[in-house]
Amino acid sequence: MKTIQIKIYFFIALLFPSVGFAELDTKFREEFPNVVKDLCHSTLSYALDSPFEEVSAEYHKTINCLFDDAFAESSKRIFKEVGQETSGKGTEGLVKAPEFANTGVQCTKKASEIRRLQEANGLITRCIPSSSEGDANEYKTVREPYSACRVGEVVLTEWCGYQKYLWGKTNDDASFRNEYEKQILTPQDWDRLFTQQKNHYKYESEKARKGLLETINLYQKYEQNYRFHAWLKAMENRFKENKSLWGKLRTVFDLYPEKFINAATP
Amino acid sequence: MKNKYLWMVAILFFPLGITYGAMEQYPQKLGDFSSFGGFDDVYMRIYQDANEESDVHVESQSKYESEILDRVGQHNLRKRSRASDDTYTQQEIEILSSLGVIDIHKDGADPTSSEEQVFISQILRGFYQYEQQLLQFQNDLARANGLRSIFENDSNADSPFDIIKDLRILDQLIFGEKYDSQKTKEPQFLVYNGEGALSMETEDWQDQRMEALQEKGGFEKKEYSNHTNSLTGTIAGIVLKPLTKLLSYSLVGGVSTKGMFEFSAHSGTSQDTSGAGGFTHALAPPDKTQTLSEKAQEEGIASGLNIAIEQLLESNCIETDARQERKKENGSDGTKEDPYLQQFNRVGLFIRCQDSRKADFLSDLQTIREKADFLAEKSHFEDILPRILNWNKDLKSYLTSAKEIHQIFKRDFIPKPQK
Repeated sequence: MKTIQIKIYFFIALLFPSVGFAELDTKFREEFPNVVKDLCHSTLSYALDSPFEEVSAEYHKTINCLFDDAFAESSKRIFKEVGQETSGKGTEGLVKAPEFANTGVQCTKKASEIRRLQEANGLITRCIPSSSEGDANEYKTVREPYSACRVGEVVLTEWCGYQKYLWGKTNDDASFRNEYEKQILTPQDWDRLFTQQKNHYKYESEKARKGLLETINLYQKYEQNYRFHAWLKAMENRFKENKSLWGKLRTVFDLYPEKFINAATP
Repeated sequence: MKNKYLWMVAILFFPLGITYGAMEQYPQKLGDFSSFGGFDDVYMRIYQDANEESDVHVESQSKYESEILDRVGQHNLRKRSRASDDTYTQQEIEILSSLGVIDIHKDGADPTSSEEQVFISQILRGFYQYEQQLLQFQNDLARANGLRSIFENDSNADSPFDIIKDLRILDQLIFGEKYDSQKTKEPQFLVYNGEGALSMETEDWQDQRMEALQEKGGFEKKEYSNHTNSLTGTIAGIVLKPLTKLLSYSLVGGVSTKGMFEFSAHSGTSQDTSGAGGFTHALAPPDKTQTLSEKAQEEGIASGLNIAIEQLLESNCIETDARQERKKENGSDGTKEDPYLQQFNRVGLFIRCQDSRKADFLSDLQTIREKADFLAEKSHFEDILPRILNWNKDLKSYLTSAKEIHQIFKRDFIPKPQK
């Protein structure tokens, strides 16, 4: 019951953002991390009093690790599949799964693990085939754990939490006051600084949204094209086995009209 | 921080004589996206690059600042040192006077007064913001199109593999030549005219051949089964079946994904990027007829940016026009801004909304959009898929031709048993 009340309150707050949330309700502020978790099912904690730089760094690190893991795992799986289906021959010349340097970033959780945590938080989502509605076999294919759809759902679930956090920070001056309480500022400087900080949250929200959207697009292209690349390489290796036969066939075809043109008249 | 930029611009360009000439062509941005590199920390690199043009919070100088300033310089704001030449030209005086910027003739105002400094810095700030937004638009398009095409641009310089390169190898293996040169060497030996005779003239060998064979009878269009062990059936299966499977993997929209792209399509119409809009994602199930790819291309990238740039146009012109309307209605300025800001608005109107400049701007936008469309046309469905389908047709033609040749041999060269 309590959670429902908070949700209703939060929704009303979102529906009327200009009504005046210069000071968010104390109880709402305290419950904010739980509300975000209930609404978004994200795994990171978003207390409004947490310093923005720390929360932001943690979020971006998590998303970065999710994508790094997805790129690597997806490629490995495809490479392995092609190798199994072609007894190893299909992988000749196929670009191997990229080795990730992880430059200075320590990733502790894999995408599959974060997905499990999200599901434990109540996430229910589904990936739907774009064609052949109701085809059981096709539905099975999109259950691939590192499909673009699945990865997209995981990162967007995390984004949902971060987005709400940014919204909260933009509309909550209490956390701003706590952060800068030790500084002696004039009222004018205080207003200017708070306005500047709000603008920065909005800027960060748009920047993070755009970065995520473009990376999802890239991952989708990568996942699809790597499969395509793997399949073309496997096909190339098959054709290579009969290269001389294909050459002979072409030679015969090309010579036939010249040598037997009269014979070819029906 | 905005003040920091403002003063930086003002210091760099002040004092100036201002003339209004033809705007130079904007530097080409599309197609410059060539060094994406590997895939480590891919998200961080894209995130850090996004919207950096308008980053006003960081203490360090934006990497785009000098480029924006260069573009401001392209507006032909002629730089002139007051120390060496402290008078306006007659033309400049006429322009400034006609705009009501400063009445030099009447009161002989000191052109280096602090009021004029403020005024000119405001003009420059307007130019700076204008160029900043346009550069962001161009960079967004360049990045989006670049990332979308790095696996399909016939180059391994920007990605570890490239589908077009893979296709070229297969072209060579199967047909003995590259796809590009096939049309000039089409075989012509099995095309029949309407009277049943061989035609050696047509260039459309493949299509007409199939039609001619069907007209002659006995060569019905065949639908090859993927389950048979025939060579034709196998090849048809090789080409089409994996494609169907491949496309089913990625082109699906999850619930959140659907919401994300819906959200982005409307984000350009609202300044509230972190508010209620984000909640739509949890409600509606995906539209099964619309794929994620279509969403991303048609709405997530293109529409969002188009809306943004249209808003830019509106904010630069229509709002000022509306202010003019208020002036007429109220008989007043309709604003409480200081006199120099009013002058700036009039100059802004002159600069941004006069017909020729607006036409130039729209022309630039059109060029950008056409290039974006051109790049989009090179995407998977419009470039690679038809090519694969053509392969399929070519392979079938090979095999049907072989059958035809076999029948001719059988009829004309193999002795028939004596009755």
